[in-house]
Amino acid sequence: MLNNQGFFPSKKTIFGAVIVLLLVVGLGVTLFVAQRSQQYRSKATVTGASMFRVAADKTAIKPGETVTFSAYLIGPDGVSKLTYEGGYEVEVMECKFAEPANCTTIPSASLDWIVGKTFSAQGTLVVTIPPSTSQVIYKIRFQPKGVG
Amino acid sequence: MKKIALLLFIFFFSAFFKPGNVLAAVDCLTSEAEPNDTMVQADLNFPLCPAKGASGVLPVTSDEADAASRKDYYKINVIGSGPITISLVNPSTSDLDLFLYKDGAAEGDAGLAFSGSRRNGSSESINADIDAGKYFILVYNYSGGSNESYSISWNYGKPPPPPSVGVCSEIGGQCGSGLAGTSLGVCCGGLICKGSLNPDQGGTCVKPETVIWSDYVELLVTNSTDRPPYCASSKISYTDSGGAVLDSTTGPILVLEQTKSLNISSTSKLPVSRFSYTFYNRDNLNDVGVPSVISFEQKDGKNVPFTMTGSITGDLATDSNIKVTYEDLDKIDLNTGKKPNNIQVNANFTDPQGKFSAQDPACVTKFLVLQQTVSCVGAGTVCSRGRLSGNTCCGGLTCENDGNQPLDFGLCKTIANPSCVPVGASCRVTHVINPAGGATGSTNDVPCCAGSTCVEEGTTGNSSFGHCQPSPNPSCTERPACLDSNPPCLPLVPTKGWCPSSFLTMIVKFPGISTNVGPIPVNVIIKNPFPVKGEAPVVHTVIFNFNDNGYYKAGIYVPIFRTGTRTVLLKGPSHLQVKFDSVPFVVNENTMLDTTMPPYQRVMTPGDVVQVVPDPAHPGATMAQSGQDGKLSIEDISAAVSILSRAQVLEVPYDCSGPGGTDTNVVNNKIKREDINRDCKISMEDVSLIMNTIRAAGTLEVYDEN
Repeated sequence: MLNNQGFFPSKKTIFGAVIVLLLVVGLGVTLFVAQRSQQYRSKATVTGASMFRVAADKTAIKPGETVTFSAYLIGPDGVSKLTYEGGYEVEVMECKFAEPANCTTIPSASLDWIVGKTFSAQGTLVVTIPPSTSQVIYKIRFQPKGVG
Repeated sequence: MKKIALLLFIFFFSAFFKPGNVLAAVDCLTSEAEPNDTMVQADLNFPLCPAKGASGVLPVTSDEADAASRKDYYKINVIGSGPITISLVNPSTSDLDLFLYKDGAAEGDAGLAFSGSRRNGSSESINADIDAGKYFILVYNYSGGSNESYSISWNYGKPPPPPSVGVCSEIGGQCGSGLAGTSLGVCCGGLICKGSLNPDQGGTCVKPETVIWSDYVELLVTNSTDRPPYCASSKISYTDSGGAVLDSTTGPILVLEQTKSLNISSTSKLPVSRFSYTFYNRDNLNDVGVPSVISFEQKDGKNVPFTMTGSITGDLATDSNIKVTYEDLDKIDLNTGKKPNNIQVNANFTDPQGKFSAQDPACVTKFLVLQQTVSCVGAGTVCSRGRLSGNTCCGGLTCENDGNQPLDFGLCKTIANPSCVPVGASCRVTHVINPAGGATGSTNDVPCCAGSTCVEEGTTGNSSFGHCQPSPNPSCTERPACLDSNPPCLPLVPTKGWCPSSFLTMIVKFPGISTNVGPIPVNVIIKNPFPVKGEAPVVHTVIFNFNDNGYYKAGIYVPIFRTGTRTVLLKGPSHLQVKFDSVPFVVNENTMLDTTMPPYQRVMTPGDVVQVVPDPAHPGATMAQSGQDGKLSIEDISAAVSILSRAQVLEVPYDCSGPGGTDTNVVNNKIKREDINRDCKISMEDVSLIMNTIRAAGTLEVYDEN
């Protein structure tokens, strides 16, 4: 019999192995996250004197439709690029349809459709234009939080 | 179980705690930044700031060959000369040593200063009197233990002196005021002095916090995104206009001549990736009165619309322009068989997603191309037969419609009997030129038949071409102008009568228009489209009166007018402003005459009706197809004039059949001569005039009505 021959581990041994396994996994995850955070921090440092670029997946949009923004941090060399993840400050100007140069800044209290959201790990941000929006031109700019 | 819970807590805490995921501006090291195994690497890191320690770990093994992994370098920036103190706290079990290097020192040098006790776990310190500049601190794991943590710091041995003249503090260097207001340094360019918690300790030079805003992302929110309304405006100007630019909706229409070129610019509401300009022929309207595209070439058997692409800077732009030369349009439009000369250009925009913009009147520009009048086309070429301008057949050819051409067009065909051509056909005269100057004679190559003469209209080399017109009656007497004034003079009538007079009667009908607009003066300009040198247009001011049927009616005597070869231009903005009965219609800026509808492209002859079409955007109002801007502007008038200027008067009967006249004195559209005052009525005034003539002349001759 296997048990009698001593090859089957006891419950205590199994429990201990599970704990060790959890610790190993936890340490691995910690190191991985730390490594990633170190990379992120390193790249964020690069972006300290850099640019923040945001593009929309479409230019013309109907009220009630969604638009996806993609964000990148550009290194001081103007080439290196890092997907941005996190929150942002935003400024939205609304321009008269017939007069694109005639714009007014919208108070943030009226921007719940974009304020409070964050860029995902993929550097994307999906927002829905309010269905009640009439014919307007929005001029939107973003500032990444925590990058300076 | 408590142990398990603790372990799980540690596990999850360790898994999700991310000490570095908060991005913050880092100007001074607070912990070592790898790689820092060499001075070159350390120089790329932030500096170790005075009085601000940093922690580090030397994660090395006992492998002596990996000497670099035993080293952690730190950069420090020292302002002013004086003592500094470097401290290494070593809680580990290894023997960590401390070195100080001047910037530029070689790896492995002894360094400026060294502290290295031979005991494990001992702390080290260096006191050095050094000059201002950049230095490197080396923490060296002498014994080679692994994962040995330590903390390192440095500070000035005394309040640092003010920096030497011309020396500024780099990042991490001190700045501001110290004790008793002593200067601690000035930050180098681009840096700012960030204050310490203790004001007596001055501050540290740091990079100013950068506010990184993205560029504006622009979204056009519209109910229709199939063809987004990107158009903002289009403008047109001569390229040599000195900067004067015409808005597409105002100003006179421009004329493109051989010596000129045009610049057409357009602006999009949002950045787009492509600007295209499509050219339309405003003389070639489709079934609904919209200009058709111009095509100069074919592809796969189909006519290709003529377009030009605007030049832009970069991938996206909101502005672009094109340059249009005479040569660009001096070609046969395959859709009409002749060169276009009444041009409309629509600017279109394509966004980065490939969507094509919606048409917009604000992005429509128009201009005319001045065609050379001294030209004719050969056999088999499309020609103009009617009242529209167009190709004229050369001498010996006649323009015939064989049923395959539009009503006013035909093909140039050889005249069957070239010995003479009938009235209205093309004729040609060749002049014999004396090399010394002047013409010595002429030959009727394609002569007109008897009773008509060749009225020359243009020249090609030594040849002139024109059309055969009835020869003047040699027996008649030149008609004095006063005879056609109102009231007319009454000279003695010659035996063979006066030569024929010409009256141009214009009737313009505006259906539904009320009548109380009063008399309106309009300049009627009569000009020879092929003017003899020095021949100027004749301008008549005619009063148009609205009558109850919504007509303008006017008749003028044109002394120089001869059927067939004169051009009539109307000039007068007032007659374009009309009033409708439709309630609650009010004359406003949207009220407009449609000058491009087919009837108006011709000269106005009795019975012509000028259409006034409704503007879909302004129910109850009307707009101009020519301006397409819904506004009454000079451009519309220019368009009207330009259209009329290309119309030839073919027949100008003295008509009394229209509103305001009676038919009682009209035979075959010609007034009987008894109607002396030409009011379309036989009245006592006529009788009086006749009697006066009899009294003056003593005789009266009655003439044939013809």
